[in-house]
Amino acid sequence: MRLYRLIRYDIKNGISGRSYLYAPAAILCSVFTVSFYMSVQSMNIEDEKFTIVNLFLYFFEGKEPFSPELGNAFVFPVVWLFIFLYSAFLTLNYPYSNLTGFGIQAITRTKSRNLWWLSKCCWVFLATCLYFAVWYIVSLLLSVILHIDLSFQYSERICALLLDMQLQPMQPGSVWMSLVVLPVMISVAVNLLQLCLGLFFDRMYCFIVSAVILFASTYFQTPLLIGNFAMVKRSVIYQENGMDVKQGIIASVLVIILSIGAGIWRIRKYDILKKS
Amino acid sequence: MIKLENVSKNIKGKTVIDGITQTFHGGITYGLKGINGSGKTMLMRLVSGLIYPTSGRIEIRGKELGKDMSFPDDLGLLIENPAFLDSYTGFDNLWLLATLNNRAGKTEVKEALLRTGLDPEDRRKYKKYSLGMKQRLGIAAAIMEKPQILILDEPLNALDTEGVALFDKIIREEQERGTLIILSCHEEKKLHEYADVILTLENGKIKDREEL
Repeated sequence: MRLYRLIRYDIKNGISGRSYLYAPAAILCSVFTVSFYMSVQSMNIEDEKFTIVNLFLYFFEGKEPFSPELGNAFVFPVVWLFIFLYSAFLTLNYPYSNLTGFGIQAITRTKSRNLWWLSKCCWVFLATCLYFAVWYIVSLLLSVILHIDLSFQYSERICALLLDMQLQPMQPGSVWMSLVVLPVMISVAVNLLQLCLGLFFDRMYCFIVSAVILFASTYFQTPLLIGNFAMVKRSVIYQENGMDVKQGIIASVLVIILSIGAGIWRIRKYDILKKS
Repeated sequence: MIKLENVSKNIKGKTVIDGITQTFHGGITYGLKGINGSGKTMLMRLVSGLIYPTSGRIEIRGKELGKDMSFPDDLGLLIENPAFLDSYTGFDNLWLLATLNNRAGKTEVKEALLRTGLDPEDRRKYKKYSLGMKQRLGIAAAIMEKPQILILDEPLNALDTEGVALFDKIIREEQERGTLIILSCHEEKKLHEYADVILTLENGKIKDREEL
């Protein structure tokens, strides 16, 4: 019951009270959607069925495995990085700024450091889900406005021409997992890891760690950098030796459990001090 | 009763509290005196469970803080500058806090606001409050659940004459209720007026104890 009250307090304080932070996400999502729509239009392929799955593939395409020995220049996947970095930024400040301000009143009333920690973990989960919901809802609305087909099918030609992707055939379940479930779970895992590190280091360093994990994920193809699991161009639907969806789920769940567990251990001895 | 046994606290290699042994009894008001950085606020943070000792132990009614409990039961706290939610009214801020442990209803919240001279019906948001009003709200938050332990760090900060008079009354009422009060205050005259025992801190140690 006390946990429920704390979560309710965090939703009011940390989500409703900071709803303005979701506006840039909605704006950027609109910009990316319209930009991709215009690119498709400029290809003069009216006979092709441009679907919302094509749009999501554009958002989460990421970067194909990079081989520096071929002399290629490394180009960062801007859209993918923005989506995940903004998610990390969105969940960076509230938990600890709250603990040095109004949160002191809250934590001393709930009488439990563990409950405070668990409620902040739940908050990170909810704030991340809401952030992705904003992306999906905005792109869905714009798809309706721009007459982008709402189906689980996708145009292979658009993928090949604009995203340089030859995908394995995808079932609706696979689309759902690769383009909705996995990106959200990976983002939750990165954000919870960031939250946990906040108990040990300054918040800015924690954000830098999240950024390094995400940037390194775009450069190196390895399951140790969990960002890999959220990129379509690193998955089995794009390449034979790509990342498996199940492995992605397991990796993100492991990071989530370890972050929550390490936080529970640390919060018991954590000094609640003003930053000064 | 709060019992500190040889409590020390180091923060980033610096000793901020150095081997304090002290018992705080219910119904007594303790005034903490000392220059900035002498350890008054750190001592209050230790007693309120916001930080734990590096060595030594703090026992509250037989239970060890940090082991048997995270925070003291029945604690009212005003530490440094009070912080509330900008977009909420004074009443809404206190009500949000009251719902976390359900120890105060709307009547108690209104009563606490009135005791500090704030209007429960005031629809102004916290961000529009003056410094003095913010301080009054901080005091109201500390007393609204009628706690057995009241920790007040510089409660007179930013209060005007009327605010100080209301605070005098609050302290008297809390003393009559048998509350254990620990407070710090830069105005020595006021500290002597409120406290039954004055503890002077210097370099994280209790240098002097004066019973009034």
